Amino acid sequence: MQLPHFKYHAPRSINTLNALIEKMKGQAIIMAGGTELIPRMKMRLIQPENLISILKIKELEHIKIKKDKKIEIGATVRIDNLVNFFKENRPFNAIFQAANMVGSQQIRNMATIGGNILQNTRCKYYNRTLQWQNIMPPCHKRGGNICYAVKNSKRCFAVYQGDMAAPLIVLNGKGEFLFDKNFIQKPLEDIFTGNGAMPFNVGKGVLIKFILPQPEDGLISTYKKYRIRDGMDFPIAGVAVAIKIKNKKIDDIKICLTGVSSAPVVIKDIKDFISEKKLTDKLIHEISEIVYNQAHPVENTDGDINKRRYMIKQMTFEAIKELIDGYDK
Amino acid sequence: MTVMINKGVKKRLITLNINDRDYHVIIDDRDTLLYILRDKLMLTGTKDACGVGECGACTVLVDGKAVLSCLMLAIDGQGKKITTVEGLAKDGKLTDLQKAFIQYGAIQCGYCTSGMLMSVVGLFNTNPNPTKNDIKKAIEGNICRCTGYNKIIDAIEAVKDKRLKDKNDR
Repeated sequence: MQLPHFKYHAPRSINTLNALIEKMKGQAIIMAGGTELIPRMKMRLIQPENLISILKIKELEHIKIKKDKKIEIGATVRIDNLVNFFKENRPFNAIFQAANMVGSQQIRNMATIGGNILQNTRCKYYNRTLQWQNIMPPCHKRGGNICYAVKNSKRCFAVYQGDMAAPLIVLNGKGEFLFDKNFIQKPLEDIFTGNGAMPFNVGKGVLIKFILPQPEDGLISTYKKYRIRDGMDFPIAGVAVAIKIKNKKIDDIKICLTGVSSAPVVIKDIKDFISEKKLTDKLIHEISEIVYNQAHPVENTDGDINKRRYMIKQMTFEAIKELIDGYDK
Repeated sequence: MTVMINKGVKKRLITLNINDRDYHVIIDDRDTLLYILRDKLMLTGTKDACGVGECGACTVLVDGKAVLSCLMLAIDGQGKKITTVEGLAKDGKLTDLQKAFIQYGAIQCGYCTSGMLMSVVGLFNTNPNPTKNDIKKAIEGNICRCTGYNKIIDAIEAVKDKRLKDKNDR
């Protein structure tokens, strides 16, 4: 399969990147690893006039632990490097788990953290060949006004299936964006719109790096992923959990879902629910029930929706149980 | 890098280091590494199958790591050390891994084999003593539709055991 024609640019510094973006006036697309963008281009879902590869910008490819113990992850750090960096790192175990389950080894060697976070939403009625696109009237995501997944829907339900966003969100990660020569930090959950057709509200901003805060005492995290095959597949449901344990009680908890909506779903009202309660299996079941009630997948990817929703409950239970049981060991 | 104009489409002259040899090729910006390998350089050992990064048949090594040549732009291969399946055997002599694939019947139709071999070479580059799970994980992106996975894993384990034994004997 040939790619459509485009002009290739490879700036070597953030300043040149900025200048290029200004010159292109929105007529360019930024590529890092290319593992998501190139298939989309081959299917003619996008046909950019200019393609800016940011792989040659050296400042974007490092992971650093700063003096204040914050961790800075450059946007083009490969997923495989994340696997090695976060191996046996207890507070940030969710990042290791998620990175280790992205695609295949080849994909992990090529794909970058920035590309994984900013990957487009997917739908079995959108990610189709050119022939299919030529026959069927366009859906919301292709500029039309039909939704094949949810009949009579006024909006697009394409699902966000990134693995890395949910773990970074539960660990309070921030993204640093370059907006017209200014660097702006945003909590990661704020960069998603929740609309499948236009999933990100970063405008002309370019993702430069991620910042993870210093892990607090007692912080533990994990990530569970449900997919049809044990390798390669995107999550059709995923749960990231971070818990802070203090005096044998859950002091803080944050849960985020992926693969069930057009954006990662941060579970609401959970911290108040658990406050000062004794840690029992019954409580974990109740937490899983709250999570289940906030997961609303639709029929737009592999797997049955009831099974996907049920798996959210099951994986939440297993994740919390595993974290708590493993805490004292 | 020279830029030429041909019917309004810009072409570039680039140098790719493939199997320790420099190749000068004229490319279009949109050409993937797979296309250049197979259609311009006639290195057809690397196979073209799904084209969207799902099957692993086009796996090559870039700086020692297994990557998918169908998802990599040829222009991004400049300055990198690229190894294809043709670069494994030296002077007509197969590597121990290739011999083990034959010995253990780890090849049926052979279409996945070159990608499979490159993934395994990539694994041994980073981990000389992989467990069975490490091996399975390393080849999870390589689809074999003849369902010969067990024999492939057996062959890889045999190579690992032999290499470790040879190292200890030395």
